[in-house]
Amino acid sequence: MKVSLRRVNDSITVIDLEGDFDLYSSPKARETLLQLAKEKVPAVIINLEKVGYMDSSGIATLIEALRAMNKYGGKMVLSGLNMKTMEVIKLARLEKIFEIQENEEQAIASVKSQAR
Amino acid sequence: MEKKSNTSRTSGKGNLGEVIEIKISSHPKMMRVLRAVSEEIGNLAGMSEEQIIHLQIAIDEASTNIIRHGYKFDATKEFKLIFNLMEDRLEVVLEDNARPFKPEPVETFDSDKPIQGGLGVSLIHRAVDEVNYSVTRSGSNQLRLVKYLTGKEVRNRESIVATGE
Repeated sequence: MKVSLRRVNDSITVIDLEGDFDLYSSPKARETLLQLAKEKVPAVIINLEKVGYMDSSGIATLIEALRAMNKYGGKMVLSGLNMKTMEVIKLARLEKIFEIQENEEQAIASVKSQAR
Repeated sequence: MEKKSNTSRTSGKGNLGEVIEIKISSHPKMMRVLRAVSEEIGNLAGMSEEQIIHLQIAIDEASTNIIRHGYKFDATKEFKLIFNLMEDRLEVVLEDNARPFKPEPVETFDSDKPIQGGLGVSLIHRAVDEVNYSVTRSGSNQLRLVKYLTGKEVRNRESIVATGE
């Protein structure tokens, strides 16, 4: 899995994930997400546009990151989910736990509107 | 991968004799291969895209449990999957020789409560119609997953067989 970071501005960071987000690859994403939480980044958008599949390890990583960011009042938004990644979140009954936006643009707009 | 005639282990009413048996190494990187196989078999069964995703999730999570909790990431170990395409359902049996492990599903997760394990098992229960765990006489763990097919999917399958696509 490829994991890369982009700073949109001082408060928003986008993390781009590419590949399958599963037992094999989730430790890499976990490390990056928890590092962002450690740095207390105000808002993190997780771009899942290029993630073909996500399993329970991926979901557990997202829950752990969400908790870590909630602790300091940080925001975490998921964007670009496809049918497979959305279906696994629905089956886990977590679609209301995560903030999910259709794409990165909408995720950025959502973060900015909540910051006002 | 081996496609062979039916065996007594997977026999049942409405059996079409379409059995695929796979032996796979207990390594997380093998999950991609298994997901691709699951997708092809779901297509062969005439399943919808959503049903195929559910099938992939159930098989993926069950296999992940064997790798993580059963064999504890020992890639020298192997486990077996038997896909049996029947008239009205697809049965998948996963068999391993690890120590017996039967995690219980959890109902839901939220962002405040700790992850207690069992999320994968919950996904399996929600993704397929039947889940049965047993230990064979020889001491192997067997997890049987069943996904029922509706009339529409059976017709889709007949069309796939007729056109060869």
